[in-house]
Amino acid sequence: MEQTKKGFLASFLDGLYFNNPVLSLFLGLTLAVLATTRFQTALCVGLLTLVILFLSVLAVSLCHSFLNKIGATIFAAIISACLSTLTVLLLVAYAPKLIDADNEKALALLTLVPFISVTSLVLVKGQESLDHTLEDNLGDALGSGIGFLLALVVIGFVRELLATGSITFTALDGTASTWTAWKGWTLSILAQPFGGFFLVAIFSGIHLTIIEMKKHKAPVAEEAK
Amino acid sequence: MQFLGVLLSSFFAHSLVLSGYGFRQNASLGARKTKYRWILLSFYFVEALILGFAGWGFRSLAANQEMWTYLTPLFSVLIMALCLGGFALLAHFCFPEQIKTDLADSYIEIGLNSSLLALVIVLLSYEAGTDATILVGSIICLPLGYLAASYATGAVLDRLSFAPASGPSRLATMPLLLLSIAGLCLGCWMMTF
Amino acid sequence: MNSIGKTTLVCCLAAVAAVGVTVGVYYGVTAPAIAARVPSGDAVTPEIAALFAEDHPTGVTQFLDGSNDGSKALLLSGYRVYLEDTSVKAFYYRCRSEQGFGGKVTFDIGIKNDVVAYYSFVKSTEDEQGTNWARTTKDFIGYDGSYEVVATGATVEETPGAMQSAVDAALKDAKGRE
Repeated sequence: MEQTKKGFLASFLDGLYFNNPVLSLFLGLTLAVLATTRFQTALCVGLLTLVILFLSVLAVSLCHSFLNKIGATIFAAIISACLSTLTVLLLVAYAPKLIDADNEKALALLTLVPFISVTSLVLVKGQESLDHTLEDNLGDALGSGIGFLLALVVIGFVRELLATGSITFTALDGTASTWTAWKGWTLSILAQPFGGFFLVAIFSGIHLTIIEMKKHKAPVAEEAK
Repeated sequence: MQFLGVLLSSFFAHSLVLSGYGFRQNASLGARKTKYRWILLSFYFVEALILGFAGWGFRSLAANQEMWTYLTPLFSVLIMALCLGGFALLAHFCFPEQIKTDLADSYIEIGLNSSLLALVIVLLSYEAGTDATILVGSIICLPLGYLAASYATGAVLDRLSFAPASGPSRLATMPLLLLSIAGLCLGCWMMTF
Repeated sequence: MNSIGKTTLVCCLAAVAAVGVTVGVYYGVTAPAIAARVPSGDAVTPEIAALFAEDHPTGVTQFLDGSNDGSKALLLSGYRVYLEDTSVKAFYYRCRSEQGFGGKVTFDIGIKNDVVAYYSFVKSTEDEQGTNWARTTKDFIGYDGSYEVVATGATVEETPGAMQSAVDAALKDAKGRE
């Protein structure tokens, strides 16, 4: 299969900002809507997705000569399903109080982490990695993963702050500490899926506007020269 | 009556799309106004039924063996992969060229879908002793609600593509679609039956 | 082998590896960790809960019942006590000393890792004489059977020795148990 080459840094920046997976390409929307109810959940899910995305793309890139488009998607899904299940098993073994369903301050990682296995982010990047070199794929995976993490963290921070007026951190032993920004003025409806769709739309709109404005300014600047 | 309640809830408060699962695939399903779109809809529904009954089986296994509670998502993804692979082979060897061209690779993202995994997890989350009517109702009605939502997202996407682009061009599509779905969520979130 | 064959082979191998690794991690890591956390035995009795309050007992298993009450036996009842800290081997015994100046003294001891950690007086067959020491002593806490517990005074001389025999019997019994 013919592969195009862009370079590690170009691919990294492309994945991180210009084609940010959530804000530009709208990949991983399920995770973006569900994992951003709390800042800490968004951080954990973002980090896990970064690792799983990187390893899945690496695995597909190494086996690219044996895989066609459908095979690459299925292979990426199996690798990420295995990794996300391993994560769940390790969480249950070593951090049970962090994910304990009876503790209302616990993180809902047990239900969210399995969705990393079928997120369009991993599947589409796995599919696309057939058409690029290993170097480009790793740069893109790293950039997209970090871009995804940053987007989730920002949306999660704003969403939790507006919904509850505070940010709650849960330690490994299940105890929670809260930083309260303000009291009283909260929009608890933002904790529902509505809040996820709404904030993703707002942030992606802002992101795309900034990119479009820079694109329009660039030809004008060239003409002025 | 229970079945009717589950059916109506699957279209509103408990809709898979409005809960946030498989939104992108739903939008692409809705946007495809092709002649053989019904094949994609049928493929999704049949796959959802297979996964639904498999999820029921996992639920029974998980009641006796804790391992199945944690390994169910992995086995669900493997079943999705099998269904997708089977459909791909069917398309490759049996479908005429016209249908193959029409469908292209669109069935890949429909086959590996967050909403299907969500269906299995919803079945696992029902308490022990839940009536079989509710389980069967969920297996049949949640996918129907997902497919019905694709008509809504498709209709909104159509409208957006006809709207005059007064701002940056890309703002006319996905962000506005997300805002519309957010509005739908808000309207439907208390509508359980 | 054509493209479909190669893809199918790779995906099947990946699926087998994925299932194998996850099942292996479940049985090797997660299941043992869950088993270690699940409290063993029966519900904690009030006496044991009070004696081991600082250690948060999670369950008990009785191996000696109270059927020795009528006889001269030194150990009336014995329980294996499961604590939150699973590395500690803990036992509870209700002991009864043979006739000392204070009569037969019934008392509870809590043993942690072969050392007496807790002591609680229950009752005595004598009303007052020689029992004041038994009620208030802390001499058994930290006792591991390697020295004599002695108290001086006309009315208590024989009591510690009699009680120590019962404690020694408990320590010896606990050493032989899992």
